[in-house]
Amino acid sequence: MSNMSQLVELSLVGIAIVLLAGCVDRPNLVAAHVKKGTDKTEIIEVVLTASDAKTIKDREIYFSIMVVDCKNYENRFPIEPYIAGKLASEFNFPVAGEFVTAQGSMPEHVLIGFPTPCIALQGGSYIFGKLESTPIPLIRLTR
Amino acid sequence: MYTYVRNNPLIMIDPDGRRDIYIGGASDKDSTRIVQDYAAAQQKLTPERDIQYFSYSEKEKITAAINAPLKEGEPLNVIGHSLGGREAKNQANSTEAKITNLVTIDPVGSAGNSEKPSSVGTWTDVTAAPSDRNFSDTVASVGRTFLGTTATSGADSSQKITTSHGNFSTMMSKSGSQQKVDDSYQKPKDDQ
Repeated sequence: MSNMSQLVELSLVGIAIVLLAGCVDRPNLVAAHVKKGTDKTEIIEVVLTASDAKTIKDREIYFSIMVVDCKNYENRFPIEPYIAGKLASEFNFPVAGEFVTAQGSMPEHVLIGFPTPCIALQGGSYIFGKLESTPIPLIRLTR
Repeated sequence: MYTYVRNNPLIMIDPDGRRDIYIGGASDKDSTRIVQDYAAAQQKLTPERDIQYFSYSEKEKITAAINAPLKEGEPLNVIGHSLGGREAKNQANSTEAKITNLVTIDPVGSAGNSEKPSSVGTWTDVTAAPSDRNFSDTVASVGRTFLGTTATSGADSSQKITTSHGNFSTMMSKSGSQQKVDDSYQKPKDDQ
């Protein structure tokens, strides 16, 4: 990398940090489901709008699917999210259509520790500020 | 399908002392939560371990956590990402505590010479080798421009993982670093 391109890169990063570091994106979650997975796991699915997913992708926002107790937000378990089978933090997932589903897994014994489970997304970008959603109830899907 | 949720948490025998110290890099504590959430998941999955998380800038707290007494033979693992990797190496350079595993995940910033610190049992270094660069790789490049590159040739194991700087959990799992940390907990159990 040449000195000039490094200088340009540094300048752009600096400007972006100054302008955008304080931003907080607050995606509106559409639904959150849990269903049995294989080998004593639970699969968590979170539906968000394609618009919110595009914001996450474009701004490269790292986030976790956060299982929280609806009555005690301090009790929480972060799950690494996948979208369309790809790790969300690779930021190359599709955002076509109206909705996008983020998915993650957790051992079933962990979910037992959440008597009233809710789901939120939480994270942030290196440059573009934070991501925080309001928790919504986690609904169990029957087989 | 997932990396920081493992289905088979170890059944531990001793709730005291055993300690994993995770050190996050720039923006980790306040924004990206990359290492912070990984450590939080580990704490839920293995509550019998003393898992602590710090920002790279919390130097005194990290020093205190590393130097807090352990029982004889119990593991102490120090895992750092980005600027946290530099801090992990710096801490290892200056402590007299016995660190079982030092894991530096795509460290950023100079941290003394490349020799393995005498306090460290095994040093694993992982380098991100992205096929497609993203913001995290740019941030790491900027950091290295200003703060230098971590000299890691003295590591017992050096691996390049095809992923971006921000994918800490991918580097932990694909490099076998998490397995090494887990294995450090198996040893006392096997002795019984």
